[in-house]
Amino acid sequence: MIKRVFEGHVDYMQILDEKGNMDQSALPSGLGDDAILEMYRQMSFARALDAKALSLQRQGRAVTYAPLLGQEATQIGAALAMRKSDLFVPNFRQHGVFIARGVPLYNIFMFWRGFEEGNIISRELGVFPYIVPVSSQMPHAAGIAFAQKYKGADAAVVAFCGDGGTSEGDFYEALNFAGVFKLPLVAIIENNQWAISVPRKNQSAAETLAQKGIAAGVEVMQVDGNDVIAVYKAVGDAIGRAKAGTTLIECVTYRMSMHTTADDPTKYRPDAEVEAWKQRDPIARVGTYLRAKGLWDDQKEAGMQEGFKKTIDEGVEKAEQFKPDPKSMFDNVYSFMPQTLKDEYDEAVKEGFWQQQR
Amino acid sequence: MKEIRFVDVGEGITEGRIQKWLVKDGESVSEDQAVVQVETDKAVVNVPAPISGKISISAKEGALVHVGDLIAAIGTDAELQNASASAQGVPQAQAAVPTAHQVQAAPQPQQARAGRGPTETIATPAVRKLARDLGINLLEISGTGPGGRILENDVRSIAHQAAGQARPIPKFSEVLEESHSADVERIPLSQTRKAIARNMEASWTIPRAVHMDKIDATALFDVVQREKPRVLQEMGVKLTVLPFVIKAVIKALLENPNFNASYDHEKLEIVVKKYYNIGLAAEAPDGLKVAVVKGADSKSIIEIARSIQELGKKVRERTISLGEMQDSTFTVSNIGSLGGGYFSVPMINYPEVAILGIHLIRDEPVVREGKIEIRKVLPFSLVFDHRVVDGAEAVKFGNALIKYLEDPDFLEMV
Amino acid sequence: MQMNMVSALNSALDAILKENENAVVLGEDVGTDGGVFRVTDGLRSKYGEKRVIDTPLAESVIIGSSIGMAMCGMLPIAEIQFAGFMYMGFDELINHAARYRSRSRSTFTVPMIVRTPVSGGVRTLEHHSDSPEVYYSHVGGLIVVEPSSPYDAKGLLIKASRMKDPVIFLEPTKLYRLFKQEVPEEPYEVEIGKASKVSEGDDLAIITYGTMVPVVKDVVAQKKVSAEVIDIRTINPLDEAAILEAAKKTGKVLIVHEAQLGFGAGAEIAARLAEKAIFDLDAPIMRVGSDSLPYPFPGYEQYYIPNALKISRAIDKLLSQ
Repeated sequence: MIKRVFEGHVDYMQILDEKGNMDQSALPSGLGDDAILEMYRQMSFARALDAKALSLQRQGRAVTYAPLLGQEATQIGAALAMRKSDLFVPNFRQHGVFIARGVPLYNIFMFWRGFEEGNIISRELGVFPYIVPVSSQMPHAAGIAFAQKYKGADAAVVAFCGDGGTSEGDFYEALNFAGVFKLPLVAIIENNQWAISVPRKNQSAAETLAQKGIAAGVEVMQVDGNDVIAVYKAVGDAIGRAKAGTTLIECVTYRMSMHTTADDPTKYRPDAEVEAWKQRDPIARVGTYLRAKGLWDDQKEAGMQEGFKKTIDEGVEKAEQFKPDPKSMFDNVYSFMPQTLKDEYDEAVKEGFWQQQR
Repeated sequence: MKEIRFVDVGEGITEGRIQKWLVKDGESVSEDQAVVQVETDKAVVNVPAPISGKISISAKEGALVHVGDLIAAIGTDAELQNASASAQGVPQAQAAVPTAHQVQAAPQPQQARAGRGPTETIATPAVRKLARDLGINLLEISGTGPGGRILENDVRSIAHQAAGQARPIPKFSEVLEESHSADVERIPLSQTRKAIARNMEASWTIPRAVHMDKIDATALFDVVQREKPRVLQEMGVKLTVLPFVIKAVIKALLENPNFNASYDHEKLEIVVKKYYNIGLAAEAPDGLKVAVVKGADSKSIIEIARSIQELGKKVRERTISLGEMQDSTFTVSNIGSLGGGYFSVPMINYPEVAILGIHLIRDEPVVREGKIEIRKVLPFSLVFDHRVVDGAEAVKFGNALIKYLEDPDFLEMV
Repeated sequence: MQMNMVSALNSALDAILKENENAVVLGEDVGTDGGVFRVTDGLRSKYGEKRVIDTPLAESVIIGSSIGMAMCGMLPIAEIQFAGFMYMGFDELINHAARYRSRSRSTFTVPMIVRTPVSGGVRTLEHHSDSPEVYYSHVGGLIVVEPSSPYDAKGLLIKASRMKDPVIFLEPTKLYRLFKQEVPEEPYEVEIGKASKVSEGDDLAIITYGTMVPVVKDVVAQKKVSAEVIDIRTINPLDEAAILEAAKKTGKVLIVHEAQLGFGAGAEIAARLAEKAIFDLDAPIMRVGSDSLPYPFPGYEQYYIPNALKISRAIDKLLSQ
């Protein structure tokens, strides 16, 4: 006897298309013009920050940097859907979420200038530090969600990973764990099509990455990751039902820039593909929508950009004034100072090993 | 004005080639505007302007530039003019890696490795350090440890000697006239001879005094003569006066424990030993040896005699082990067995407190109860460390020997 | 109360769960089953499944989720069923548990405990008998503890639960039920990072820990040798002062551990002695460990684990120096 014991499907959502046409019937209630203007501003700010960070790196004023260009809608849509009590777990590219959640630019620039002090992020903001090893943050996110449920907190955890990250065992372990314990976790696959030089099709033979959640028994959804309204709605809905369990959302977007500043995508990626995705830009379509409604114009745009520059320059200046103190490396290894570690520190001070560097 | 220098744009880049200037020399540029494309091993990168202003290009298209090289400057006309006037020497490129100019040459080692060279010495770091601290050259020491290893004690005894010498011994070459150099034969010291010399030098550090007296050994002599054949026949042991002397020494030591001791010159303590190992200075084919009767206090006279016999055989046959020559607590030198001597002064076996020399038993006229009699007389010398014991104690020790050896029956009883 | 190490650990976990309402025990089979060695026996019925949690069979997320919980004010006490399976969670420990405090300058800290049975001698299947202490000690930020007695096991575990650091708590399976000892029923602490002096002696110092502690004690007693035996108890951070003191007192040092000799903890200890005590030593530093090959199947383990004879010979060799 053979009978079908399971059938699954993945829904795709788009609300604001590439041309700026809004599907009014799907527009979340309560998402007024002001909110959409705020989305536009936040996405534009993320892009301005990104451009500045890249420029700083090319001038030797930042270490390696991972650009977010093209992924603003996924990041800002998710960030703005979160409530204040919700928590955010990034990988290494979600500077957009950081700024939307109120992380000071100083922290972001400090991280990318190569100082741990960038990760001194106020716990009030509910933002956890960048994580570099791919998908290794997903188990943390599961644990953080576990803690919220354990304490009965009204908080969901929003965690990001990339398309490459879905190939990691940690991705599945975390999702499976969250599924078993029905944790308030919203796992977002920021599918930007490329894991450095390896394309999406080489990560998985599955038609969608969202369907990986079906195996873990969690809710799944695929959205146009360049549609900030769709991302906002999908994440908001997932947070709304987080007390009942986990949701996996695949945001289909595109990495318009390099993986990091140490990478050159022209070596492996056809220009035509990049050009095609330019037509689906996440910010332009909101701009088109707002201008059509008479809510935006060139003058407002120029004013906004000027404001961004001032804010960003202040953040850069503050970060560039920072002077590292090697003692901070030793003071933060354990909750106490082991004698053997103290001996190493004392020797460096006594011998003046750090004089030249300081 | 701000300079544009080529930086490490991609995790370990050291050089790049100017591929294309995106602006013309002297053109106005704005902050963060890409001004030049540089090709590196990894990628073609756009280098942006750090500020807005006029650009003055200094690196040509196609030029190879290193990290730190100046490629352009941006500023006002005046700034750029001033800069070019003073920029005869292009500023030194900043190396990507911190230079090590502050690293100084290593100092000379405080001391060359002691005792390393053609003649190797073996010693642990602890001993090497001790030698350095005491100013001792390990090459001049032959070790008494396993495989000739130099032990802490070897170094200390040499140091002790050195400290005891008021004046350094003049160099040998200074005291032997060269004119005689053809008339002498140089004989290298044997290992045994070296050890003897070292021990004697150690012994010489002891401030010593000597107590001498005579024992009326007539009765003792008679006992030995009487029992000798039976002991030989029944026990296979050759009986002599010596085991009786050793037995008497044990009795005297028990009554005068400071003679079974060592002087610790470091801690300034007398180390009294609760075990009784009697060394016997014996002449071996290759020099003086001290064979040790271990645990002599628990042995009978016959057992002591047997030990002496066995040790003597081993000394003669050169099969005696190191262990059988170590760890004595008091030594007896049987000078009489060499066929002579009257009142000789043996060297204390360092680090013991005393040595007893016994001499040939001779017939001598002795006054007994107002009459002259011919008696067997045994002269002895007790050489002792005066730091540990005084003359009165030496006399007491000597009288104990006399008491026991003049009445051998009593000796066997107690 | 007389307890073996299993009951001492159980008693410690009970005390911790009672003392800290945010403490949870999680791992494979720790709930209803009470753990494969029964260390968590009875805890679920006492504290409920909310606090004594049977997880999916996935070591990386057991450890990784513990990190997340720890950063949110909980005290996760994860059990990894055998040390040989813990490598699946190695990334989480090395890349995250060890680093969070440092990389956030103490803004995000990870107070957590990962317990796991270690070492051999109980005829388990392959991968169940590893002695992995050095892997976790070679990274600053982790604390690595390995008790050798029921008393120390309870005191160290309670101390670990009150620290604000990630603690790798290694439990020698061989010692779980080897002997009983008087252990207080109430909670108490044994200091972490502090060695214990098992015996006083003058002729040589023996530095050891874990399964080798009782073996060394036996050998010393049988040989009637005067040995200063030190159980370091914490592998990282090392109680260097105690080791140097024992070395300086005796001038001769033997290091004994079950883990492979090559690149073992003995190498670290010997190196520190060489740097800081060589002029107090009158013999080369010696080590005893298992041979440098993969842990064998149980049929061969008797040839592999350092035995009394191997230790005895090393003592003879050292004393004849």
